[in-house]
Amino acid sequence: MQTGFETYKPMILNGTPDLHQIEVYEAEGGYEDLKKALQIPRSELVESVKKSGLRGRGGAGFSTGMKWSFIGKDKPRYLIVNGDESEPGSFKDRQIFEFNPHLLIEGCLITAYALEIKTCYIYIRGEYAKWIRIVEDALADSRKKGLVGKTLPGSDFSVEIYVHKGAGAYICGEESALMNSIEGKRAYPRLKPPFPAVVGLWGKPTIINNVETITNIPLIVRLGAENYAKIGAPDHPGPMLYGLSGHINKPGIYELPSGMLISDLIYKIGGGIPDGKKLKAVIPGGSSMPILRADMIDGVTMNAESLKKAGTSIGTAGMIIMDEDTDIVEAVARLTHFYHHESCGQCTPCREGTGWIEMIYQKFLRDEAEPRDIDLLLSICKQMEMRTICALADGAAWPVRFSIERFREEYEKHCKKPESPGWNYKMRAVSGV
Amino acid sequence: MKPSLNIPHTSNHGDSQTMPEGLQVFETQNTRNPSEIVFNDDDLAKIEEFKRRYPNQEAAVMPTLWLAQEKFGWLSQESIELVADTLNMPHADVFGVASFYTMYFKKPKGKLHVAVCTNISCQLCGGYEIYNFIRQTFGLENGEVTGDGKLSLEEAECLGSCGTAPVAQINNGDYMENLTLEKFKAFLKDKGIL
Amino acid sequence: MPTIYIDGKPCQAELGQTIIEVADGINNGGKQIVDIPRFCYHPTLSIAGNCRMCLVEMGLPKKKKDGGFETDEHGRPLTQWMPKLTTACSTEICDGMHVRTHHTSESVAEAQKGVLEFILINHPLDCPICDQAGECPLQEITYTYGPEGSRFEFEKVHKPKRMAWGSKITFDAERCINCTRCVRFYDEYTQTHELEIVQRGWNNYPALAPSANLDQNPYAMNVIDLCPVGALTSADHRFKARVWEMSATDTISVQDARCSSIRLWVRDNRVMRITPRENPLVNGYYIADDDRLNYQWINDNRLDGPSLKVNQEQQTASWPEAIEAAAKSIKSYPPDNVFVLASARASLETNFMAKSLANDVIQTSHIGYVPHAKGTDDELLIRADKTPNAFGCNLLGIDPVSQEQLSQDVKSGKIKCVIIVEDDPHFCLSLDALSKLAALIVMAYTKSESTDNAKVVLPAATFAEQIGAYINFEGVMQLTRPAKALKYQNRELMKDMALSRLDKHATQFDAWSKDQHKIDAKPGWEILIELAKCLGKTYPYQTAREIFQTISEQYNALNGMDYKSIGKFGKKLQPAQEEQTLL
Repeated sequence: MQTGFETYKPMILNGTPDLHQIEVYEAEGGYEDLKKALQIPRSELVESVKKSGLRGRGGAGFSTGMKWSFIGKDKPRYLIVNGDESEPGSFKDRQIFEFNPHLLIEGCLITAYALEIKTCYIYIRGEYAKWIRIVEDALADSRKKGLVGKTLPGSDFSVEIYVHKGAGAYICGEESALMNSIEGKRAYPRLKPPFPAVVGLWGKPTIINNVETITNIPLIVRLGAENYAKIGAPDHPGPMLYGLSGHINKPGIYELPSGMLISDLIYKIGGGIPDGKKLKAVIPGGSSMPILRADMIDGVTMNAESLKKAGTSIGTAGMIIMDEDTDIVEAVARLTHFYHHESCGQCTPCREGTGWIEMIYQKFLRDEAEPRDIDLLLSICKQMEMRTICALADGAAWPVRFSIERFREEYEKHCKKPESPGWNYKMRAVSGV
Repeated sequence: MKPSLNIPHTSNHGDSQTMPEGLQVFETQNTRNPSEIVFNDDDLAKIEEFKRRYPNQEAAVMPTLWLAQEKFGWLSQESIELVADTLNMPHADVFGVASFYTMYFKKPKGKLHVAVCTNISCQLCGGYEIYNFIRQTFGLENGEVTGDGKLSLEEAECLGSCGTAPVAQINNGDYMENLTLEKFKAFLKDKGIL
Repeated sequence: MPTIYIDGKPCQAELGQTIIEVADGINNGGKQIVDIPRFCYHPTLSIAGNCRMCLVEMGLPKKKKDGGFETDEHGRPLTQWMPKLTTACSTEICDGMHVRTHHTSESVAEAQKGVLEFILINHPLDCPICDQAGECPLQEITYTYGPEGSRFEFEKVHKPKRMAWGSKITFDAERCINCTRCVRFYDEYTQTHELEIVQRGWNNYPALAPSANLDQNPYAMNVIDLCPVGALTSADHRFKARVWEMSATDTISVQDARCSSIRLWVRDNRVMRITPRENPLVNGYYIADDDRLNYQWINDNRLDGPSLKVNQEQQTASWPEAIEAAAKSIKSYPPDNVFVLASARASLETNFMAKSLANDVIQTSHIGYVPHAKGTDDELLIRADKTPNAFGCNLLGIDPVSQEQLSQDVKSGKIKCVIIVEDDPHFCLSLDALSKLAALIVMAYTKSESTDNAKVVLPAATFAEQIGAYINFEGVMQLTRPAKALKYQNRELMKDMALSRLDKHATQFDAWSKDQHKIDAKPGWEILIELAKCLGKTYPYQTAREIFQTISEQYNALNGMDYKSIGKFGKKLQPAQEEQTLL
């Protein structure tokens, strides 16, 4: 639990105007962290990141330092910065592209140096056309200053950074699908193991980190691992870019220490719910994470452990707030359409399951559903989860499963049709049926 | 009257058909002279630069498809084959890649292509109002173009702008954020569509 | 040797193998250890892991923090079961791995039912009109592992149906379960990249690039066998016969010198289609399209019963009449004017009898075979040599003779009588040589203009109607087996002929089998024995097996082989001994 967030000074989105211009960035002390890092031996840098406790900000929350330590020995190695932010409710990486692209570039350079990576790809989703231009301009400026593509001052190391533009697919946010997308194939996730850190892009060791994660690396170098670990919640330290959207008075991205109370975020930072309405539900980390009822958020803070205990997960910290007049079934129905639209179609449970779930939700929206359809939805979720190549199926099943668990009365309200007789079909073969 | 069963005794391929109408994934270029679908020297220089970014030239297929779409307006079967030939890739593979992504247009779109986000945050903030307004005013469904080719509609997934919901994207380019019906109507009037 | 435990049973395994390979018996001589259902896995293709049918529970020995394993009271390592089910096709084994299949695990059985329910929700109910019915892995796996019914109440997805992919393959996208076997086949085996999956989600299906032409791909039709559902079917065989109406006989292809192992499917004594048969020694899992599509000559336009040329026309004769006429003709020429043309299309037994006839009976030194070569060898299966038994002829000491040389000898008058054993006259002799030839005695399969001009025509049984040994270009000896009955043969009474369901269970009211498709022909060796008898020498052979026995005694290369030892896949002749005989 974090107190004193009022005194936190943002480091990533620190509000300096025109920070995307390299002159302004350097005047603010930009690229100093890079110079500092180049003097630190590589293994120490990796240890430092491990000690800092930094966890990936892309949704999985895996320890960044540990991921780095898995990198295979083969060369050449690659770094991919995952900027395919397509999770509904997440819009934080775009702020970094717009307001502090040089911090991202600096983070790439430090990471590449630490892991002996000579080529880095920043994958930005295709819809962010405007922000791709900003990042490419910033890259061109850094290139002119000899930071990208040339031997770094005070070292024998050089890194090349390219921007790769996506073209509209949520599945590209999945690491192995992202690699296939860059390689020019259909963006199907790969079977794991082997993991990208050992066999990645074109078969070579590849580290894939989220944009926000990479922007934290210069901060770790700047503050040192111990000081960094003191920011925010101890199990999930560092600054976090919280997203607030939906029924909230002051929607936007707020950089604050991790471990903020959800209630603080909604009422103190977000200004509460418009028209004085009451809170009904909040999804804490992008649409794939389990939904929380308003009575479940007491004392729950935005860090991995606390959210796990509360029965949800941190994801991308993009909170979606729903007021008392929201029809949960309608909201989740739109999500099922999203997952069905974005399923890549490679493996059977997700390809068929997401579509089937969407069609059942259409029945609910037409008030033609029956109570047994609720059980059918739960059964389909059980058949999809943990049976697929990637986690999109889980992300598709969780909103359905948890909203049914926690808001069952909403579903029953939509069950207007009388129960039809005779469907006693069970999943097991039963004699005489 | 009983219908006469005129089943041929050995039907081998008589009952096969090419792809039925409406299910065609790739449309052939019928609005332009197909011999116009070529890359000029500037384009080829750009493509060479794309290829230099990757150790394997197949990886340049995505930027090259973007180039082709920006040049020709949309990706017809001929454009996709041109990209495949330029990068020395099998045609089928490039068809697979082009059909995978939403932003590669496989059909011609309107002069103004409006992608309205209706995903959860925008849905909660009124995204469907904007979307349904266009649907009802112009009689368009998701993916369709008006008869005069001026406007096309798309129901977009989350555009990553939930803080300024509702949001629409114009022509795969800039966002219109904090949309209201009035703002949008004014915009359409400005473009001469409304 | 690492050991893994499948359902508690220890199995030998090797590092680098996957669970499904071990379960299929790769270390067990090919005998399956446990059944794991699968759609997208194929031993010759890369691993896709997308059908999710082969899910199994997997556990590894529980490691202690300081190294070593936690053990139970008997000292056996405890197993840590993975929380997620894993696909058997993509999981590599390690020593001490435990695997639970549906036999011992509820959750695996549930998972199988779940995956099948998902596959079936959009799969059209085409079984009544689908060619694959009866040999459809989806049908069989659903029946064995699947749920009782479906809970899907909506309209199924519509995709292109009955599309023509060239003239050989019909594609039905609705039936496709997107296992990508066909895509991987064209990418990895023929490396022609004609297919790729298009669209995303459940609208996807493999699309043929508009510029691709599958008719030019000589291995295109192999995807029909690979496809686990009826999405890819043979256009040639469409709606012609149900699987259970046909009998299946394991035999070999006689299209070229590879002699790919095939299966002949026969209904009512007509060959309906050809499918590949797995043979690791010869062709792996695939055959060329030529092997598959050339079977009409076995059914139609056959020479049915002997005939003699009387007044410029062929007149039917009985066997004794024809054999006598042939013998009379041969006797009327000095041995040096007689040429016995053996054939690389005929079996080893027939060629042996031809040689015996030439050397011992007619006592001519003129014996040879005309080689038929077309095109070049390719890297996969096709050979330029379009005859199946050239190796066998060479082994028996029958040398090749060119068509030009033979025609020359005929035109110059050196050769006046030619006995052609199982070949087409117009392949062996030029037209003017044919017209000059005084006495042509031909044993052939099909009618043609050149047989019409022969003095004596004796119909020979094809490879599909007899048992015979053939040796392919690599020295692998294989047997053909009779699939089609000859006239006066009764299928049910022939011990070695395959029976279809109709053959076995049809009643006298099922008018399925008529005798009209049985051809009055005899195996080449039988005709030659009768001819020899008429010429004065009696051979004791009653069956092809006995002739083979003699060959195997006389030639070292065969090293005492007999039919039984040849087995399912054939047997490779030992090179050292080959050299001895060829010298």
